[in-house]
Amino acid sequence: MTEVAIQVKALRKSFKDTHVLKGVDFDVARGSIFALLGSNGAGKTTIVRILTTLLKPDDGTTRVDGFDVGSQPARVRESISLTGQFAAVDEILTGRENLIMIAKLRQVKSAGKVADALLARFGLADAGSRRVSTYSGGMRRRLDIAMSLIGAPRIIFLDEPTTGLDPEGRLEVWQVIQNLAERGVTVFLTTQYLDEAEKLADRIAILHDGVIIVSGTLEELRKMLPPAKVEYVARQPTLEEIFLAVVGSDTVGSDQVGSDTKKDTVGSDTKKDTVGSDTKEQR
Amino acid sequence: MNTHFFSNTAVMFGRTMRHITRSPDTIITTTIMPIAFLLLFVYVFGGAIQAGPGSYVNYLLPGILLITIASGISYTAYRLFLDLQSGIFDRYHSMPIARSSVLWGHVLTSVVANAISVVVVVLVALLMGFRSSAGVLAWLAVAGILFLFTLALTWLAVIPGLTAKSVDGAAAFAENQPVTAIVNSIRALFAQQPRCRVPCAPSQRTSRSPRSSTRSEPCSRNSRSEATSGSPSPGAAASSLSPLRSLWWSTGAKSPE
Repeated sequence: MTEVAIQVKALRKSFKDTHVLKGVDFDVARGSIFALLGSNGAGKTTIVRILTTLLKPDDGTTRVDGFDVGSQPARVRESISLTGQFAAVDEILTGRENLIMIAKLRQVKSAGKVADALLARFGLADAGSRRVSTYSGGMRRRLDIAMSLIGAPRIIFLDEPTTGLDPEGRLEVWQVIQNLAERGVTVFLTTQYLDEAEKLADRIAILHDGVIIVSGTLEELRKMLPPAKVEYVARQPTLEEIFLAVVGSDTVGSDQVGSDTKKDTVGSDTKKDTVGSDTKEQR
Repeated sequence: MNTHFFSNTAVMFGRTMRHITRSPDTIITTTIMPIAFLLLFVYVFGGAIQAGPGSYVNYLLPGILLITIASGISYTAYRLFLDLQSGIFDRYHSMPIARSSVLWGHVLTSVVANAISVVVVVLVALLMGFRSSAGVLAWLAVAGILFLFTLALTWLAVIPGLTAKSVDGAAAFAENQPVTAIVNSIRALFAQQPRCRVPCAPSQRTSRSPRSSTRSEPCSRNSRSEATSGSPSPGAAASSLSPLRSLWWSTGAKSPE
């Protein structure tokens, strides 16, 4: 049986009279992509904040990487990394300085090398010496995720990583998330886009009215989803396909996306080596 | 955790210091108002205000320095608030770092930025004729008082920075603190009158209570003792009445009553 990376049992949280979480249960297997679906205000971010030690639950047990979140928050923080709902980057610093800052805070040796490797991996090598305030939304998000990878966390929380991005930016982020899972990182993803969960997640849970109403693999969910939601899932990719077909194929931006993707798959072995050696150095 | 406190704080300090060096306008806007006050009071109102013997700018400067710091610390509240809004606080707090280093970075930056502002204001005052007979030790004492004042006030500014619900709330931090006693101490240090050639410390002039007239008699005590003793000087008593008024008095103006 696979090891459990995140374990949540009977989790409850209320804000004054609003009961946001009314007994949430789920497990996330190590090395998998887990998507938490829910509409706005369903409590997805509340769950992420509790699991990343930012918020105290009212009741229930939560274990992350084998550590109890309530009693061993420091151990949990060593295992995780959070990419919040809004790109948490320092706009006045350059992209490279942002990465070096996080590397130094995580006590990573040769912070400059790690930063350069990540800039190259996320297609930001040219923009590395520019201030983040000049970046596009997609570039910020990529930098944000790159900052979360420093120090080789075993579990990464991504809170609505593609909200507010254009379709091309979303594809870039999806590619990054898939690469993470291939490296054995556990990804906890929240999203309100059904197609995103459909494309990425090994397991999907739907949070509604304070409880997980369904959870399982996509195949399992397909049989359970009400017809109205099936229609919604089916329509959105179609529009996206039209958009990408009309706009994407001719623009320079999408070409870059394509070439980046190729580079990533071809060069992934050498890159893995560099990142791997960095990880060894730290220990 | 605490083993990394100093290195974490150094990183945080480096980050916020870059904010200052890349947008020096925060220092410029901090110093413009006190310099305007200096010019206004010395050249416009100066003739109308009786501050006793000695040049008026000497009398005025200590209060102006505190105004400089009081207006400078509100930037700390502002920057903290922006950090909180942008989500970078959540990132720091979900990382294995010393949590207090996040705030210390901001506070130390505030101390450095205010020190630069104070130096600029002192230089302008020197151009306007400020002279002090203070020795090295007295200057160090002044620097120490200003340092502690900045530190204390910045930590106060941290509170609205972390609790404010809007930028306005974070920046509109009440800057008026009961500071008259500190102003008087700095004045005494600058004045350096160990043998009381001039009638004792200027603090009496901030109040017109009967007590002050008795104290203007030949002075038997060192003005420096006033700086350290913390005895209830008229200024300190006045400051408890109204912080705003105490700042006003520290400019040397007469009470509106």
